[in-house]
Amino acid sequence: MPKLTIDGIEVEVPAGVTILQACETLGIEIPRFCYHERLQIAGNCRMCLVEVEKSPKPVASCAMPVADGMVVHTGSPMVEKARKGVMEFLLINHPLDCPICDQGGECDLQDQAIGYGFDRGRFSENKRAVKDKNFGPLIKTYMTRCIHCTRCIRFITEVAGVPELGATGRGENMEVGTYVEKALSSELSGNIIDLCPVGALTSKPFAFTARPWELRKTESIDVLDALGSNIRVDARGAAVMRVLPRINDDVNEEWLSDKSRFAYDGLQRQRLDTPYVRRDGRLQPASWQDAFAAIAARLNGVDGKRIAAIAGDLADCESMVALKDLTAALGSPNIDCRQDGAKLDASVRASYLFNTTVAGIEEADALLLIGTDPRREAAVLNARIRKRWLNGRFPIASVGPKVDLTYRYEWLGDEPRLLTDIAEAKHPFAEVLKGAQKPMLILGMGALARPDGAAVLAAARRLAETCGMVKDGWNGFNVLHLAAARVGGLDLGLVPGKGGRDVAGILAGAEKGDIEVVYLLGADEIDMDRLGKAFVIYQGHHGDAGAHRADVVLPGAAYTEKNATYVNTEGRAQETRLAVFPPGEAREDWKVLRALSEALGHRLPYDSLREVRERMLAVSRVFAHRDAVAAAEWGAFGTDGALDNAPFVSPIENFYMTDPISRASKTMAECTALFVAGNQRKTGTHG
Amino acid sequence: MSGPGTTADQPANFAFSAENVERARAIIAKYPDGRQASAVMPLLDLAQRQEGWVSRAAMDHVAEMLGMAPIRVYEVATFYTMFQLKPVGKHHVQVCTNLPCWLRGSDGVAMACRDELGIGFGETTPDGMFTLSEVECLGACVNAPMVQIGDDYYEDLDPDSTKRLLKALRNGEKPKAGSQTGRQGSAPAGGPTTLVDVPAKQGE
Amino acid sequence: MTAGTRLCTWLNGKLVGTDEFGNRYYTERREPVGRKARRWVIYQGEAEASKVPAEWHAWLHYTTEQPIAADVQGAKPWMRPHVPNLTGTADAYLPPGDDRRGGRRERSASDYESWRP
Repeated sequence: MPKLTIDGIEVEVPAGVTILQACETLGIEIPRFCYHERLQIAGNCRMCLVEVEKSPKPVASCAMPVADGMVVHTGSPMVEKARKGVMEFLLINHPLDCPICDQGGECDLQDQAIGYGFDRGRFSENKRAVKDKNFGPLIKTYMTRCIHCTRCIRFITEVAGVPELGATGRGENMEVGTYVEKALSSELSGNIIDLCPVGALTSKPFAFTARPWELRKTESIDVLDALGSNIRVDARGAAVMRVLPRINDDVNEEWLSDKSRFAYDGLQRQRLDTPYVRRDGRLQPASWQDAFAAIAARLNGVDGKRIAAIAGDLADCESMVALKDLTAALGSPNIDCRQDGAKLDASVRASYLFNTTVAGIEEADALLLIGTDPRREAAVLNARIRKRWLNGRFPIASVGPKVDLTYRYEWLGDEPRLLTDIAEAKHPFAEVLKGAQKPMLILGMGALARPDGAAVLAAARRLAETCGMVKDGWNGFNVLHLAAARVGGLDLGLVPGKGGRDVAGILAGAEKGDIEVVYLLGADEIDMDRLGKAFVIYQGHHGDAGAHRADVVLPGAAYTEKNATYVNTEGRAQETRLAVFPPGEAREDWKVLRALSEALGHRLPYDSLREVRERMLAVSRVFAHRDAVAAAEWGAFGTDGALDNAPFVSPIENFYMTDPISRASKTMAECTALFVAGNQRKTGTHG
Repeated sequence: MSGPGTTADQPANFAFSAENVERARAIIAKYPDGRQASAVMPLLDLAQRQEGWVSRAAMDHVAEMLGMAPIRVYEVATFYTMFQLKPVGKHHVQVCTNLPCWLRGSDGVAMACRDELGIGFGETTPDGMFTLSEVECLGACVNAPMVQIGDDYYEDLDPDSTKRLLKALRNGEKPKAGSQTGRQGSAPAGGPTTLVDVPAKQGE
Repeated sequence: MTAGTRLCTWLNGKLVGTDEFGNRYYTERREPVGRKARRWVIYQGEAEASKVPAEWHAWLHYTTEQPIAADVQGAKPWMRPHVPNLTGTADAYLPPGDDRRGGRRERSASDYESWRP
């Protein structure tokens, strides 16, 4: 380990570390624009210059590896002068339009100009102006402000894996862009807004709506996919103005998918803000008392077996435990949280978790994807797989939809029988898995949400066991969920009780009239036409399919409006926090259920969030620790059976619209029109 | 489409001629497996020699041949000034106006070109024969001033010899490349200045 | 105006001037020793401090030695006539969107669209 002296402090750092990183271990911050921890080193902004003794010139610390005996000065007059010079050059072509720039207040260049800027300009020639590019509905460009740090190019090429951005031209004519005008088709494109150190790339939906210092920042969790990305919700007044990622190396590093970042305008549209009761065939606004009275009147005398409840994809754990307790009190065994019909087994926790953990992907050395398209199902997780793939020696194969995943993989086919072939070592990829130290598989909902899902689950378990994926200290069996509510629901046991019906059973029962009352807790993705004549109670935050079919609508809170627990696909319990209040009469979901239980005469025994959480803890120890993953014990699960020949398909047709919030979002509608509908047109003519 | 020196009038597609496909294969074969992207510059040059310029379609075709992202090819093609991104005339006259050429009278050479061809820098004659460009140093300072036409350097020019040169080209002749004053390579213009006397025999 | 004020003004007061609203401004008739001469105002009608226009306010608070004549020096074309505080009166300011102004306001970023069945 080389030993060097930085500003008179002797420090020992691992070989290969750069001077800038060595400085950071000492807490010395070096100004930088192009350098970023998670991207390759470019060394082109020159802001990080430091003085190294015996070196004739200042050295770019971000690109200079440390050497034994180096003596570094980070604050000497030479360094100050060099950085001031660099700053002056950067500002030559940078417009002085901070008052009208959306980056103002959170701009690296602005901040560093405070430290190194000259108080007047000595450049009297013409400034260069660059034509703005059109990067699609998410990213607003103002390319004259670009300082050519190339962070966006490196991110799109390396992390997102969609090489569409580049620097064309040379010298003063260099421009960052796509050259051919096109919208960035990456699901992670929004991250270049955060990466841009100046105001060249800003958020289009957020443009000119708020200044960063007038926003109220709330640290929360994203629920629009099952990854549980850590986010910060920026709100002003009663509105969420934007959503930004928060750093969590175990989950999302510092990236966020475009849907999670830009669907927030859906929180302002199609909101349920008052209870509704269907009278004379029409839903009419009502008071909470009237709505509860209507439910109580209808439920009066109905046998518990004729009542059913389905928890949707965005339901939080607090409301799900309340729903479970309420249905139990009503004597109903018909409860399910798997509205897509996935044949998940709630009895063995390891059977429905992403056991390897997201960070664990980086340790794996072989990967089999089964019925999943991680790029659309969990875009940030896909970036993690790509990161591992870029490190090399990571064979990937897929049994499932043949799609562009941004990394090379071997497409084995899409027939389920391939699973048994690999498990029985009849397929060449079995050798790859067996030869690997830490092989893993990712089982998607496309493989489980089908009639033979239980058999697929069993086949995948056998494959994992025979290929050595499950051993001491390593569990390579992973289920990639689509819904933020799913793992929490399974942990809380929202599955049919003894003699109870699952979602398919509930729908069939409702169609036949065996089920009289259906309680939908934010469940919108089921076939509403099959509910027949059942009395439907819908509790949720958006007027989507469920609210249209409902007989009583109870307005709930969206994920930015409640303190709630969600368990991500790894089994990590995380909390969202209230950033804004629910609109109108809407209330936090567990409170609605608690109030309803009183009206029904089955008072639930909790009156505060703390008491609900104690109840959750009594149901499952998972909720004892927040932000942590506990290894789940392996067991037997799945039902052996014949595999259907139907190919695995991805359940996500449109990445941008998967839930009531994103379906209500105008931004997501624009993306759908551009990327999804646009792509379809292309394949149509390619015929 | 952006950046200087491009044209909006792009052909829809591009393909190498049968002969050039062979050449392209030979070029790609020079590079080890997985490093085919290194062939991007020779292939772009080949495309330019075939079409006279590098169109978007040609860049896309090269990208496809080498398994590169198109933007990586665009970056290369727009970075190097010797890739022409819009059509040029049959004879591309590139006049060096850098310091050594300028000191030796490149202004006169440039003026002679303008007079003779009737066009300014960056323009093409209506008959498509000549395109006139102003370029940076081409590395022939010892024989300044000079112009490059096609692949050939014409050196030691003055306004008269420049006009003669262009007239000859217009008439379909192929003037002799190199120094137009007849000196050999970069030898001193007035003949040898050293080693002129016969060396004395050893011991005398 | 109380009887005490009236008596005090009659005994001690020297009228300095009257503003355009009819408020009368007084100072002490005899120069006091060891302190500044008191200055006070007798309001026309109801006693309300915000009735004092800016130029007289300056004089009352000893910002200026002599009262500023509103009409001569320093009067600018953009200066508007003094208005006392209207809070609590019928002319009070109502922000846009107030129910008494019809309750209609421009859309703001915090508005949400509610679902209608």
